[in-house]
Amino acid sequence: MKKNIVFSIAVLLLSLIFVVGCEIGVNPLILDSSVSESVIVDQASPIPYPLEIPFPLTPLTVNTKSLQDVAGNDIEKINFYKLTLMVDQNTTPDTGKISGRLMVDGDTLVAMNNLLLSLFKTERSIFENIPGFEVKNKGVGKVLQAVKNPPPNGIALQMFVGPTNTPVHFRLWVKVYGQIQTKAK
Amino acid sequence: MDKKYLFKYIGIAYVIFLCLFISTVSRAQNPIEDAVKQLTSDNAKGYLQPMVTSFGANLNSGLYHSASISELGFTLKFDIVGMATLIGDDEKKYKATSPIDGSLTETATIFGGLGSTVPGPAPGMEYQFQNGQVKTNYVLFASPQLTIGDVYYSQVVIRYAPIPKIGDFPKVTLFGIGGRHNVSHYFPVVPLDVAASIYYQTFDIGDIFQAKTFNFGAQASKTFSVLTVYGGLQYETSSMDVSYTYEGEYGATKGTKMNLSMDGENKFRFTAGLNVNLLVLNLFADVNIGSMTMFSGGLGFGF
Repeated sequence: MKKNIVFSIAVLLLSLIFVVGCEIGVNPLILDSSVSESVIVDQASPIPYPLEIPFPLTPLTVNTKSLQDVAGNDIEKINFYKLTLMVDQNTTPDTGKISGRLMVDGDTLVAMNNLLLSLFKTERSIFENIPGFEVKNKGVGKVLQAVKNPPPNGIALQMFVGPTNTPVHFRLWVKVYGQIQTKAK
Repeated sequence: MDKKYLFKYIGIAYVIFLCLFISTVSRAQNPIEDAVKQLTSDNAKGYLQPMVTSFGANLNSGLYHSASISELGFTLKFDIVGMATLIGDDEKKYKATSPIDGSLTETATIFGGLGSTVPGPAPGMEYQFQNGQVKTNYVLFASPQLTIGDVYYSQVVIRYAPIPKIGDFPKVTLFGIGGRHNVSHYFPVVPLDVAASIYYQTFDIGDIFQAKTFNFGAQASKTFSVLTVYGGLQYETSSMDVSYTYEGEYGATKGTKMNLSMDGENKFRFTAGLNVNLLVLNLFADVNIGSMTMFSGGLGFGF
């Protein structure tokens, strides 16, 4: 009988080591998130100086609230860490250079001056050092605010193009990268 | 002890092991899996490396409790072996690649605290590395183990634990096989029992996780009445394959199938332990010193 009691205690002690001292999911999860939108620029003839043509005519809405669409997780905090541009469907002649501005909610986000579109064949951060390309802090601030506190109607995105030396046709993708910090489980 | 009680307790111990193991792993599945899915392969390797090393170190533990093997006789032992690998401060951090500028930043591993934050390219922007998801100072594991012998100074050791698919919890299979041979009988003047051993183990959780370990080594032991003092040196390897679908947003395309093959960092260990033999019951415990510190201990039943 005494041996059986010793035995029971030993089995119990061995079992307890599995459940003691290990906590899982104590810290919030960090989940990546992104929202992207595209603007099609289609101009059949070169745009002479000092003209600027808006694309599209009515600004496009980007819903930054969709950054928080992380199913099944309560959100505690959201970070904004990257914004990129990419051009596809580009049929602009190889020698085609453009100038213009990408606007968010009426403020310039980036300004382009005599820039080759081929630079954006692959996704490029707007914060890269690219000659003829300038980031405007006020525009970045607008995006930052829209990520942290998404306005109900989203933010307005519009590309003003001009002047160009050739006809231009391309699609410009704007992608905002965020991080969702969930509540610890 | 009455045989009826012996088998009753063997059954209880095994069922407790299975239930606790399932509950621990299934509880662990979501936050850990969700965290890893956000990581590119390079950062996932750094994030998971301490888990791979500690898990491999655990699997390579507790395989022997004596070096005594007779020329011919009947040995049948069933052990429940618990293993623990200590997680120190070094295992709680690694250098991760920043998506902002590609620089290396020290941040939390799976066993760490909060991930580091690096400033973004403009004021107000920032990037936070993944937080640790397991708060513990040790990694635990347990295994049933069967030792069969003795034939020409040799024994076979088997570990086997098949856990079928239960709901969302995937099928889990632990399988290990090894052999030990008493070499001291070749040198009758040696006052200790000395054995050489080799083991191979696999551990699979569904299709997402496969681990393998291999080790060989030499053990020595000396028995004083019911007490056996044992020790050994061991060379070992461990590897773990982890597959997941990338759900992050930088460095790789979302939805990419990631297949990581990682090696444990522990290669050598020194073991020292004690085994108390009470007829059909053995109680054993040992400490293992390698690149990490490991412990194993448990209960054995048999002859």
